[in-house]
Amino acid sequence: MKKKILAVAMATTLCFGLSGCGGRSVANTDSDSQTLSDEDVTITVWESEEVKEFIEKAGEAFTKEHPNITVEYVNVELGDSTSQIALDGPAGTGPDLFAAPHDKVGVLAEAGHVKASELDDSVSGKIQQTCVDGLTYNGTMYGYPVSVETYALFYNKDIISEDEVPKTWADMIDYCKNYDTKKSDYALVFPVGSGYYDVTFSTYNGNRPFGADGLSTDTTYLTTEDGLKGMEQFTALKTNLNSASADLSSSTVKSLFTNGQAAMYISGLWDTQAFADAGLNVGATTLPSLLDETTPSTSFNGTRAMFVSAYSKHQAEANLFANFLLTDDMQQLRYEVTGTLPATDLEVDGDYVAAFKEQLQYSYPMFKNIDAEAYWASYNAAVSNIWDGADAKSEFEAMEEAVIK
Amino acid sequence: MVKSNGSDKNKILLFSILFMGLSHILFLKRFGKGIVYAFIEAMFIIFTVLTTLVGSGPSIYYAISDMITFGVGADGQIYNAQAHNFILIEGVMALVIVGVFIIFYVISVQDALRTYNEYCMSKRLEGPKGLARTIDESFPVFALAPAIVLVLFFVIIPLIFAAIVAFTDYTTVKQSFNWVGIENFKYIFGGNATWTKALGSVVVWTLLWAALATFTCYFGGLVVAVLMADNKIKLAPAFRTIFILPYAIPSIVSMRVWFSLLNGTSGGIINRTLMSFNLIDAPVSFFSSVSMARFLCILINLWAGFPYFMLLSMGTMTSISADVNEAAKIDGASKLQIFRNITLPLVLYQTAPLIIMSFVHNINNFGAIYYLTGGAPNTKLSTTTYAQGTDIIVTWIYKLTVDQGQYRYASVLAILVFVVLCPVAIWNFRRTKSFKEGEV
Repeated sequence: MKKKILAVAMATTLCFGLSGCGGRSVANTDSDSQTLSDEDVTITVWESEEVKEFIEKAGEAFTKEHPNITVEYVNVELGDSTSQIALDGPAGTGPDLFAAPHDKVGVLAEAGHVKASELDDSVSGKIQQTCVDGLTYNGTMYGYPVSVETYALFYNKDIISEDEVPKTWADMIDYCKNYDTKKSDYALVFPVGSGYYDVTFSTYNGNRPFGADGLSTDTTYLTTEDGLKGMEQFTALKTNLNSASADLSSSTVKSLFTNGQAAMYISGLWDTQAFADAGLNVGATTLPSLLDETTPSTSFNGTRAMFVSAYSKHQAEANLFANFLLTDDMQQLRYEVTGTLPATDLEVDGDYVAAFKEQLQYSYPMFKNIDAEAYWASYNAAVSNIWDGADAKSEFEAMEEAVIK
Repeated sequence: MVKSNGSDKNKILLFSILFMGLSHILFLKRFGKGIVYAFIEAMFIIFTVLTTLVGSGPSIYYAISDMITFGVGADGQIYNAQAHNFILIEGVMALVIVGVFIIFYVISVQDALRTYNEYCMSKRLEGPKGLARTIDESFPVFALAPAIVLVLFFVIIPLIFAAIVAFTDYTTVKQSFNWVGIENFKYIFGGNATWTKALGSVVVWTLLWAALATFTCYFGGLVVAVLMADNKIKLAPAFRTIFILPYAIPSIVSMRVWFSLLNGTSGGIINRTLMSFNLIDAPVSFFSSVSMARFLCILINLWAGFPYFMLLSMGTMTSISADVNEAAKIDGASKLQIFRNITLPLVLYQTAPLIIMSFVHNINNFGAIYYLTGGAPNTKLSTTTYAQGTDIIVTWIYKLTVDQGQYRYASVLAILVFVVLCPVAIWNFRRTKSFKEGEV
């Protein structure tokens, strides 16, 4: 009996004693470089619902050129793809190619969800520089820019004639102050609680909030003298449009404009379908100029890009398809389906294209650091408070303290 | 063989502790049971020791050690390249498995001792009982096993995971995170003045909201129910149907509709109506001040919430005997007196537990706030903490997690809610009749 006890005791000690030694190897974190396969391959693409038609048509055209590759569309909205890839990618159920706005590039690159872009020589020269800048993170370009957007000034031609549209913010302030509400309830509407639009007031004299590369880590550039000067013009707009920021959400101001209750509206091309549906007679022009400047005030621009997933097993094919989306034919098709401006130098025709192309010259990529989400929340809260009467300097200082660590 | 006079108790204890089921097999002739126990221990050893030594396959040892070090070895090399949240949840699973194993171990030792005691009493060892009898006797175990496994994996593990996140610096901004001890608690409870202030204001408003929302809905419903019961009201069923309608509409829809009705531009329907009657000159911003927005939250919640308590009160009132009311009337009691001295005490007595549950529900009433105001308006604290004027704790947690990915602070708040609400819920549950009568 004693022997038995001893044997069992020894076996147990041995087992647990040995378990201390590591029997496993260092994890291999590099994924293999991938080459094109000759076998049948299906690449999965995540895109928003309104781009479905384009992806499907482009996929068909692509399969004609590369018969062994099929493209499958999966609906994941632009705003959800970044959080979704973090879960689906490592789990092996992610896409090969997915769409995301460029301000997510920091998060995507830092987390290792995406591969650096491998642009084909035939398309790389044609991409607009601001899109390349937008997608460059710490010196490396990620993703393939497919479209670019910014905002400009729409005006309802039935209420205000083209000549009447103020060319400077100072004129705009006067215009709003003396606006005859018999024409419409409001002169100018825009989502005042959104930093995306309000940043334009902080861009006086070359001041670029969050840095021209969108990666400033030591200051927001919002509290600079130049930055604060323009904010005075922002709050001075609160004459005719005398509502709290909470009431002026983007959906509210959009419906004010489409209902003919506002003469002017700052927004992007994504709203033009709603204007057409409402039967409005709308014109577009660049933003007014700040203070004593003579050029339109600077706006944020956003590049929509397709990213090759780092978890994809068909990265070479995904690269190929992404490059294919940048060819003139596909960019033209994309413009026809979605109405967003091409990211390449392709010329397109449209009612509002000229104004937006010009505004694009006076725009810079929105910030894309890895804390972008926190920046947005803070920035939106700060500008809302400023609109509602808080002091711009102290709000922006509070924001700077909250986001800059 | 073991003696039946109880002197071998220590031997049984020693062997059953040495290896699960060993005493069952060696001394007690409970071979089936012993083999099952031994199998459990063998599996456990395989997945803690063997897979660890080999370095492949699921290893409980590595799952737990990785949870502590997040896959970084003593040499600084990364041995586990998974995302840290995966490492963490695998570690929690491993811990739960170890916990279950320990419970099994304790059960097996107790079972061995009990069997030995029985043997000492009856002086004879019963052989194997046969499969049919075993299954019959242990039917509850088999019947409950799936439920227990489900509870473990879908309730216990997620709960532990959600709670221990409070001790890490987990944000979705970074894929990798680490243990930070009670830093997050310190930060929110006093370490950072703005966060502490925001927490204070959100907690105060949450409690105020829960109390007022419960109070207004309850008495609103009760008053309407009493009015409905008055036989002077014509077409009572029609009114009842109309009153129940707000309750029948999904609150997400009605709250969003209220929000757009109350919009503070001339596009808001209420503003436009008031303006066209020339009652106001310019649109009123209903959500511009925090106190106004909070007042509207409670008011609109009353609109949406009173039908439930109206139905409840009507149900309870039917159980009040008509004789009582009649006697009161004959004695010359006024309607108010009848309500105050008969209806109210009787209804209150019956529905008191529901008031408490409704209070708890309102503390976590995400929809009533989020779909109405979304937290608006902003306050001075919003810039730093994302907590807005009408945010209650759950909507703040939602913003911190879904919008900001700040799981660390959200988890601290979730623990706070749990610690506050759990005693209330348990106390309320223990007061219920079904618990007292031991039927649960």
